[in-house]
Amino acid sequence: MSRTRLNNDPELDDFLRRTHEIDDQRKSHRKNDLPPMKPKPSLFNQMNQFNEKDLNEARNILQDSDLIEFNEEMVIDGSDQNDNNLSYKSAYNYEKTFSPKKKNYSLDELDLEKDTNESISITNSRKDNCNNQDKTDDKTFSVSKEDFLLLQRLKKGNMKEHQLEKPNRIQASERSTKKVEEKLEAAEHEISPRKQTMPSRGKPRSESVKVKYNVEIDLDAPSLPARRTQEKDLSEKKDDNTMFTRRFNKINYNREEEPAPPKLPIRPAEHVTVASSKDLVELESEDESDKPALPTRSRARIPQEEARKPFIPSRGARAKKEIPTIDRSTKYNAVKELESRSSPMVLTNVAPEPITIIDLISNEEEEVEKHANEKLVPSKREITSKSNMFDDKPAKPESVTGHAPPPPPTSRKPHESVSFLTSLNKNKLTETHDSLPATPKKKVALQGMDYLDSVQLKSPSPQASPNNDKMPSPMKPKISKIPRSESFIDSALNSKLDVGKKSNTSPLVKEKPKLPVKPTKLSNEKVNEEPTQLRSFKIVKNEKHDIPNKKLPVVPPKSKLINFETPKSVNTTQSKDSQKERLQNDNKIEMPKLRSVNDRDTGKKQAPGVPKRKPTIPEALINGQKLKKTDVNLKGNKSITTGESAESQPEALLKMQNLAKSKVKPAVPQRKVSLPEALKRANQLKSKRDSTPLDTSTNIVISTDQSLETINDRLESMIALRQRNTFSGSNTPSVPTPIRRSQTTISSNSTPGSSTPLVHVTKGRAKGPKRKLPSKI
Amino acid sequence: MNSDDKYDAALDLLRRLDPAKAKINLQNLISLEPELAEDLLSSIDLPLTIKQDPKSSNRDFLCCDYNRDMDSHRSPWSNDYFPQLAPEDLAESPFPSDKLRQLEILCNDSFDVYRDLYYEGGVSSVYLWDLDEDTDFAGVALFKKSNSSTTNWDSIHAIEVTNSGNGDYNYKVTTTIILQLENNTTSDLKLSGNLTRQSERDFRVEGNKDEQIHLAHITNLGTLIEDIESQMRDMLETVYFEKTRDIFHQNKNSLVTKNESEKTAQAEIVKGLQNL
Repeated sequence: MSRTRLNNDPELDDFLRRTHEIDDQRKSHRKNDLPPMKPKPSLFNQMNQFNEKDLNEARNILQDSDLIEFNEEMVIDGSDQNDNNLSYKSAYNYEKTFSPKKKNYSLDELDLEKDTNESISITNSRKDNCNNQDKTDDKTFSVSKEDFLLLQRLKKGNMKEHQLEKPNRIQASERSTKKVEEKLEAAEHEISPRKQTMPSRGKPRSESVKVKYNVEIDLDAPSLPARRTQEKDLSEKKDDNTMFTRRFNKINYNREEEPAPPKLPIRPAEHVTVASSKDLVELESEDESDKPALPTRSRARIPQEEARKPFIPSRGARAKKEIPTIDRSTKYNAVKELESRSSPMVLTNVAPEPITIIDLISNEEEEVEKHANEKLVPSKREITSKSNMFDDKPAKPESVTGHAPPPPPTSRKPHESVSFLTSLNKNKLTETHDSLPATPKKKVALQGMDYLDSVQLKSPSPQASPNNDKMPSPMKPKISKIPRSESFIDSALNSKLDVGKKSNTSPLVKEKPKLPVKPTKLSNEKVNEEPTQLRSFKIVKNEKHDIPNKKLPVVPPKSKLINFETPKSVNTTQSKDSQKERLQNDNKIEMPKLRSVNDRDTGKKQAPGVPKRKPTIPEALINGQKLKKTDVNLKGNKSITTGESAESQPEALLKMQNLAKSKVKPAVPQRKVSLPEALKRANQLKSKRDSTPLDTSTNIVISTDQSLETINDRLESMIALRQRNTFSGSNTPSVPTPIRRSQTTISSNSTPGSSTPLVHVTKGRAKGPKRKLPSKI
Repeated sequence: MNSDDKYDAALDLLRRLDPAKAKINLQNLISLEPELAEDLLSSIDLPLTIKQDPKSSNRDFLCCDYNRDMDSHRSPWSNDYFPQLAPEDLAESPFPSDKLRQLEILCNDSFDVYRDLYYEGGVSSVYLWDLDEDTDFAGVALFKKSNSSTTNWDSIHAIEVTNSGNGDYNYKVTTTIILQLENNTTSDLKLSGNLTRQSERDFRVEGNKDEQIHLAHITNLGTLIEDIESQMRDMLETVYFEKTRDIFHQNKNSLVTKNESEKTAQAEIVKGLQNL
């Protein structure tokens, strides 16, 4: 998976560039051109519903973090700016689909499920309140539920900070956070242009929209005066607070209802998180010197990696290696403080999203490779298997113990910014290791079956499923050895290796003989064995199961029990070759060919003796003489019947006489004509034949008789004849030839007088009245 | 070469030329031999043309050489030439006599019904002209049915009715059917040709009154033309379509024989291989 994404890097880069350019253009355009069109939000009329306390709280929150503003803005003002929405949606969707970071903060990990109901209720209530803003409701979902929930949590934390002012916080951290806040406030204007220039792709949700919101606030001073006041003074404009009270009243409501979570120390992290993300940018700018080639990436990397470091046990050393610069500065401590803080850390993970996917993939690939290497070690597997879904908990303290105060482990779960691929890998690994003993069947199918594995292991996979039903224990570990999701090519290679091994050794078949070792008792177990083999044979048709079939007859006790069968076995042994040949022949459809080949082979084997006999000519002569003798005998019989003259006459004439007897006798009237008359008629016919060319069978005669014909006519007739001969010769040369002659003769006879003019019937019809010719003619 | 020979040669030539281009070929021949123009125009049947009679509510009438004078054609409905001729030319232009005109009107009406019954559309026109004898007359009955400019059925019945005496009349009908089928939309198939047949029949016409005689002529001519057209239609069906069907079957049979020969060759090869 990771390498496939690496292959898509150029496309992603192109897309990132485009989105950056578009965002920059839009932002610059917005800055230059103030949008006067923006109407006031309809919520403004509904302000009276909310409490002033909530307003203050909201203001505090809004002052503290821009993210809250962003979310609010996105919720409320999303419908007003279609351009922003489009760009935001495009970037967001792209990130949602392609970026693996998206899964860093799932609801499960962040433990936001608790708040989901609340948040949803909030949104729904907000929908109810904001009847005019149906479009904005859609925007809430476009922001993503996780972000919204995180923001809700932040809000809660801030609210409780300001209200309760618990002393539990570490003052040093507060100081650091305040410092960071100051730095942020000071650096916002400095960083904001960078953020603007930065593409919104890396973290489209937070930063890009932050900038939008800032711009909108600046531009929409009349529509949203409260925010300006928030920036300036919190206490001055309480009327404007109604907007925010309305936004957060339900948050407060839910917060009041629910008990405060133990994660309260997180509150300062809100400030810190935002500040840290931006301070880190500064730090990263320093760090960028180490990595000049990718300045923008480093800014985003650090928080992510920092967030990841503690979570992944194996990364501990690696993370230190990767981010040595963080250890230098004191801000790394702040970062660790952030890490130690449970929920707001998520924001840190969220905020630095502008990390390019390439970096992510590269880091993740390294992680994956390391994991893969780690996987080979069983001890680490065990660790991972233990930790699987929950392994990160113990892993965190290992890495963080030295630095950060021990936060509650539950709060760190949401902080886990494990990347998508790493999480997948871990999950797979853990699943496989955990599941091997417990639930082998289903997981065997699911675990290591990559695409290529599935393709290449099609033949064994069906075997495994039915065999597992009967023999689960031996089969599973071997299949579990199949490479899981280490990498695409590795899996492919390993699968090929496995396939090759399977094809050569047929592990399934090997395993089967292992089973009979167990049932060594008696026939019942053998009977149990046989159906298994048979079933396997049925399932796997192509593979060589002749061996087990052969083993079945080999079963000695049967032969020993029945003594009478031994001579039969002798017979079978004698005819084994013939039986094999028969079986082969039966398998092959082309029986006659093989037999003919065998015959020839036998003939060839006898060939040394044959050439002595080979003088074929005398044999032929002998046969011919024999044939003649038979004919002669027949003739002799007939000649005896007919008479002496038959010796010289051929058979045909004799037969003709026999036939003529029957025919001639009824043809008696011919004899009535006297011979002289017949002669006369014959002479007349001859004379006629001589006179006319019709009786002639050749064209030459025609030409001779028709001496008057011109040479052209003769040539034409000859050409016509040849053409017809050639034409008819293709079909049937014998039949049409006489027809041609007759036709030619007829045509030759008719040619001189055949120039009969066409009969024009219209020539003799009425010609109509006398009329003048048309002018056109 | 006599004029008759030229005339025959021209007719022969036109018989052998493309019937679809008969008009062009005729004009070319007339340009070559202007002397033969009158004979050729009267004896060569060209596809009929349609004109409208403005004096009878633009009713269509068919135009041929028999109702032509100069460049105008006489309408059977108004008995006028369209486009109208100059009075000088019109004075010399042929018109049927009043008696024959009455018969012409009846013939047009009756054959229009016939046309409607048999053609279910199209146009029909009947033109009569007088012959030397008062009782004799000649004429032409024209029918045209065209679904498009390229698909036409033109039937031209040239009639000669001569009184052989004692109430017996000889009806001589020379029928020419010009069939032209083209389908340019789907394919380049063209099927066009002329078929001309002449038939005679004698009828006894009883009656002294002109009306009775006219009715008798109309009935006799109608039955005669009806029979001739049906026969001609059958002939066309056999000549054109059966011939094309024969050609089609010939091609098909040739294909069949080819396939059979291939099968036999294949069988021989298989036998040879089996014998190896």
